[in-house]
Amino acid sequence: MNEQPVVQLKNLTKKIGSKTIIDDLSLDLYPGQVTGFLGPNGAGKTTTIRMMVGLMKATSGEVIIDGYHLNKNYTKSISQVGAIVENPEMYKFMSGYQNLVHFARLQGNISKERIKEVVKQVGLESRIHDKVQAYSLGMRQRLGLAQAILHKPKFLILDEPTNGLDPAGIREFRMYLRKIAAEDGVSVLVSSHLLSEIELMCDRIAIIQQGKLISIRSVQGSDQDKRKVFLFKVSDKEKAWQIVKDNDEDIEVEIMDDRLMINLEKEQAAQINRTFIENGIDVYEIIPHKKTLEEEFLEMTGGEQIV
Amino acid sequence: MFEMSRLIRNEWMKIFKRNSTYILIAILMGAVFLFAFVSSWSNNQQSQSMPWEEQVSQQMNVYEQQAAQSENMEEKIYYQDQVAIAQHRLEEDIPPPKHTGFTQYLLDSKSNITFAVLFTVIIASGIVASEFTWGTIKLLTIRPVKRGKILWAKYFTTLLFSLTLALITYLAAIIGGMMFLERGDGVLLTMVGDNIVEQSVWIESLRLYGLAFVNMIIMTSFAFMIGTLSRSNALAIGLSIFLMFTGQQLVFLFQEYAFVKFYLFTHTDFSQYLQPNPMIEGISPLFSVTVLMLYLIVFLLVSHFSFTKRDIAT
Repeated sequence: MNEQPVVQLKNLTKKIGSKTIIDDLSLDLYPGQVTGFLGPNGAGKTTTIRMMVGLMKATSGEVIIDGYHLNKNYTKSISQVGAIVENPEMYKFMSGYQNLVHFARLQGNISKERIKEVVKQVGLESRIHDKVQAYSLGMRQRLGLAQAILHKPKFLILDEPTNGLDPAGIREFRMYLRKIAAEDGVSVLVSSHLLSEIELMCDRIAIIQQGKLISIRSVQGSDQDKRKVFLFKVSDKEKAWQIVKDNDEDIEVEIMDDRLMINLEKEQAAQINRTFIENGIDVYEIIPHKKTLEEEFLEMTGGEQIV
Repeated sequence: MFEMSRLIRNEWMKIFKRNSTYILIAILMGAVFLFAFVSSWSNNQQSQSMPWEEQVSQQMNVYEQQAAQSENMEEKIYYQDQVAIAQHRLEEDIPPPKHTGFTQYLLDSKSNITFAVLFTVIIASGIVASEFTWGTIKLLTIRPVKRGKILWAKYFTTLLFSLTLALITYLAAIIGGMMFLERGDGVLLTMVGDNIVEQSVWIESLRLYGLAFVNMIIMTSFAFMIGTLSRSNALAIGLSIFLMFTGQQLVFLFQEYAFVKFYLFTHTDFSQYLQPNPMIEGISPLFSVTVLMLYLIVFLLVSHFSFTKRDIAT
């Protein structure tokens, strides 16, 4: 990525009393990129997001958005940010439309046409004049997204955005995020506890634990590993296990339920398959087992609960 | 400037899109009408009083005695003026407003402002605190508008709302009075320099309402500060209303001590200066205005720094 980052977090630290909530966190977010933000409960995700939008002040370190320092040039830098922080809480006694008018006035120059366009984009046309009181959680999420993109920000922060959306809504939402990232070059930060969701939605994942950034990597990266675990379903497990061990002492092999788990390189897998057949063992299935993000996440964070 | 007006429109919208606001206004108007009705009803219960000439001359005797007794110059002048006015009434045959009439009622109706203050305090304590309760503060403050500006817009809106309620109280009092009380009953007189002149009931009543409005601004600002500090609707409303009702009483409790001169509620009732003896000796309107201004500045500064400097972690 040789582009300039839209958002730079530089050595961000937040202390409350003697407790360090965020510890020297640095992160760059680039245009057109969707970054997933993961971490176990209480790792500091929300605190980090709050510092990025100026709700909380960092004890030390800097937040730079679109080239402006958040502390020194607040209005300039925040004008490029659209966000949902935690739940999209709206004024329930007003209609969705009135809520949008309210936020449009805070943003400055936003036309009636733009509001209409956004309402259409998030698919709320038919209910926009109803009071928010009567909205389902999914509709509130849509309205939350609408107020976040009203001013076409360069940087979008979404906290648990798919919470309450139905599967079709989630899919639609994912497509929309991909679209604004690709077409408008918006940089998106999504925090979610649905790891499979993050995997589908994001280009890059940042994992935070106990206030420290412990990993940043791209989502496709995990496919590149040469060695993999293969699951073999065979007619005679014990015999097959013996064959593998006779073949090579060092191969990791384990019997798991009705399958053999063998850690191999791709070429070796084909080799072993042939050996099985030659020895009269029927092979029903060979499944290359890819580590899911969840497994990786649990490995990295030591199995703490994710929310 | 445009930005400020947009922000104020937002705040105004958030007040008037709520049903509770209309309920408050309805209760306020109901209370004012009830006051008008009870005034006319209790007046009818009273037996026929003596002719006004007799009343005025009795009053005049009382004033003369008080003028003779008073040691303080201001007080003496006040009673002498009252004597002069009474004499003028008798000589020129100008009756004072009847106890049962519209004029006296409208002047008394300024006490209804208490309801307006009560309801404004509810709005003022909630205008910042509710944003925290609703969780909307997060979406409100992550905008290209400085937090301080948002707070000032809220404060101006609160003042605008208190003015609106005061006007509603006044207009409702006039309408209620016209419905329930007889009109055209006598004339108010006042001293301007050395001359006795007729005073219009409208100007006099507006003056009384205006003085009561000073109290309203102070109470509103106080509630606004508590709401901003505590970020809790209930606490702010409770504390403000508690102080509203007990604050004034405490003046008498504190009157032995020197600090009472700098106590807020010694100064909030400006109608005390319409008569020669204010609640506490040695205070003047100018002194009161100064003390109130200082309190106001402190309230607003505390609100401002609390709102702009503290983290939002709701």
